[in-house]
Amino acid sequence: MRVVRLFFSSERRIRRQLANLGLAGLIGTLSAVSAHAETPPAPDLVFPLDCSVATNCVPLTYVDHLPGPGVRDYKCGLNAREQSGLTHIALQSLADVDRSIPVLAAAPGKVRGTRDGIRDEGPEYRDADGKSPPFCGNAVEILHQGGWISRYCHMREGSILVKAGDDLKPGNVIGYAGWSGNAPMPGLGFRLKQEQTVLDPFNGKPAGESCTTTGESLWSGLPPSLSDYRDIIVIDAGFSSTPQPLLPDIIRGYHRQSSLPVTAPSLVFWVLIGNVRPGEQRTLQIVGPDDRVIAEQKHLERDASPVMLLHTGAARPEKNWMPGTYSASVVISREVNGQMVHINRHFDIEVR
Amino acid sequence: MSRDLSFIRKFLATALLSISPATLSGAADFPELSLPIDCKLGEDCWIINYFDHAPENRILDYTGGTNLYDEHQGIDIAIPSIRAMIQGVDVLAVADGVVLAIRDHIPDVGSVDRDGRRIDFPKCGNAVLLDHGNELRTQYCHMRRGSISVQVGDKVSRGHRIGLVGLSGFTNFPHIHLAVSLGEDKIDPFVGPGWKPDSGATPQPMWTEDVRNAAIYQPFVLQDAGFTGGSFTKHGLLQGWYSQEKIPATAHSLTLGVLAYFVDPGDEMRVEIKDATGKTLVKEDIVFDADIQRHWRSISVDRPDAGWRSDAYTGFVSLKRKSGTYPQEQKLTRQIKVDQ
Repeated sequence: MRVVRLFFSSERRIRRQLANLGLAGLIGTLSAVSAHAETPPAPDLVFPLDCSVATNCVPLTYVDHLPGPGVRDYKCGLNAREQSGLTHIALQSLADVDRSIPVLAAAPGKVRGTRDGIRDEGPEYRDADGKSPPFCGNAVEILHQGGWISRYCHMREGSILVKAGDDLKPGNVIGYAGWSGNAPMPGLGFRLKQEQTVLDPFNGKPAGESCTTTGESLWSGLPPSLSDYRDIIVIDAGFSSTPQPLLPDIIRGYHRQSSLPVTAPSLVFWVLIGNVRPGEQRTLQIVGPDDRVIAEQKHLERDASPVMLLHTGAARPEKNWMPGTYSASVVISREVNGQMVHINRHFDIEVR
Repeated sequence: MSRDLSFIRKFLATALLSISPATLSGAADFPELSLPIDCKLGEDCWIINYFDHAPENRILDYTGGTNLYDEHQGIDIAIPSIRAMIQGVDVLAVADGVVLAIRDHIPDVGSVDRDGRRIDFPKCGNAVLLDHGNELRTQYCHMRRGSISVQVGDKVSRGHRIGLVGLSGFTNFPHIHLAVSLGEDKIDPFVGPGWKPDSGATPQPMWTEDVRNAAIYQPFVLQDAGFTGGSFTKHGLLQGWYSQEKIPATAHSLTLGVLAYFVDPGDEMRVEIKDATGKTLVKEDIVFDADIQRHWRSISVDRPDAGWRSDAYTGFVSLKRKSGTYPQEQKLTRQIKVDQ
């Protein structure tokens, strides 16, 4: 097994070099002797969303590598959707959709088809006949060399710029990220497929193939922040002056105050996390400028959820809030494959 | 008890108005009112819908114009887009006062569902009610859920931030509705209490001097225009998606979309896209033959065989009223570049 993997990996490298030299024709010959002779080589991929983890996006779900019930992403973690071959890159809110985040052709190819006209209301959208949206929402498909097809899902209504038959270069803008179709958060769903084979771009391995086999990423030039794997995904966090921030409003882009007045009716810290599993333990806490704990919430989760909004907070004291820096923290412990994984993140807000 | 007093004062106010408006120039015991929203009229907000002074089934604003809808008992000030709303536009107390009531749980989804059916929310949506003394009250409607930053009993001063503009209640565009009332009566702040269209009385605006100077009456409003390289939708323009500076070269067409309020029969609109040499690529002239409260329009130009030019394309929109009380022309221009 090991020998085959090494061979496969070095073969990709050779293929890439040949392609760079304009000798793509040789690739077929090489593939014929490779371990995956029946499947043509996958193209190198440009990351299809022009976003950054530092400001507005995070990979939320990866291709599922576990056949049957349950999920395993390419790192054997739990950040995948049941039987899904989509990689979902989540934006923090619909405010990012308003900012027109470009969706990019991942490789050279020809547009195979497009679909538009679905409102950016996620899975809740119903058309005039009361029907749910198609899973992929507004979409583009591009046909690449070797019969590979890349698909781009959940794009913004009216944003699709290309038409069937257009020839595209890698990095060409095909439209903008949105929230159409069945996605837990605004962003982009991406899939690479040839015949019945769906490849995980993060390790170049087919969906359903065990997560324990390692492979080589198909991404070229992917910044570390996007290639870094996180066991527990924090999509966004913030502060609000309302006692009960609601998930639809967080997704709309509300409750991201950069400071709060001393008269704020409440001081609430919220965190939006992904792929919640039963049994995980969480503690949210806010500490005031005088180092006193003003709010704390401990919780043992019973449910699973693709995204979950957590919050803790307190009502305004009689004499208003003490001005200064309030520090909030979120600690999450989750069991993944019999091992406990943890995160401990801190966020500050000024009260004036 | 207080109701009795209000009756007397109203009676006196009306009587005084009918005798000599000048004697009221001190505007009684009322504070002047500042703008209920943190924006610049005519730049990033517009008065759309004035107070209705006409009897049932007719509409008439204080100038005799028709910038309003039937039975509208307040002033609507619109912001550019839902995008601006999500970024946050502050709602401000118009005068010193005390918070009498708040409501903050209505979702920001307007009042009509996707199939055009009415959703039964309180009309005012999320709201704050302020008491300024002497029975003068102001109410702020359609605020953003979870945005109200005051509590009942709080004292606020003029200009204090009380929450954010939203899209809750009876509304289909992001705006603040300001309702001014004196006792049981709703008051148009452009004319003050007691004024009637045929009274011959001089209006006594309740606004501060700043607002009086800024709130120049607009009989219609050419509110927004923007370019898209994709498919134009009304929703997209209202959302604020068409304010980009550049459009990707992959775009097959350039579309200029326009939004205007209170078009009258006879009004003339021109929509035009020119390239950097001044050549007109597409132009449309429209003469309206009906009253239209909200009008959307778009025109498109296809990508030339030689590809897009590297310099900017310009969209020109004008809306002209030639006759009536307020002949006027409003213009908008928008520029867009196409990435090479």
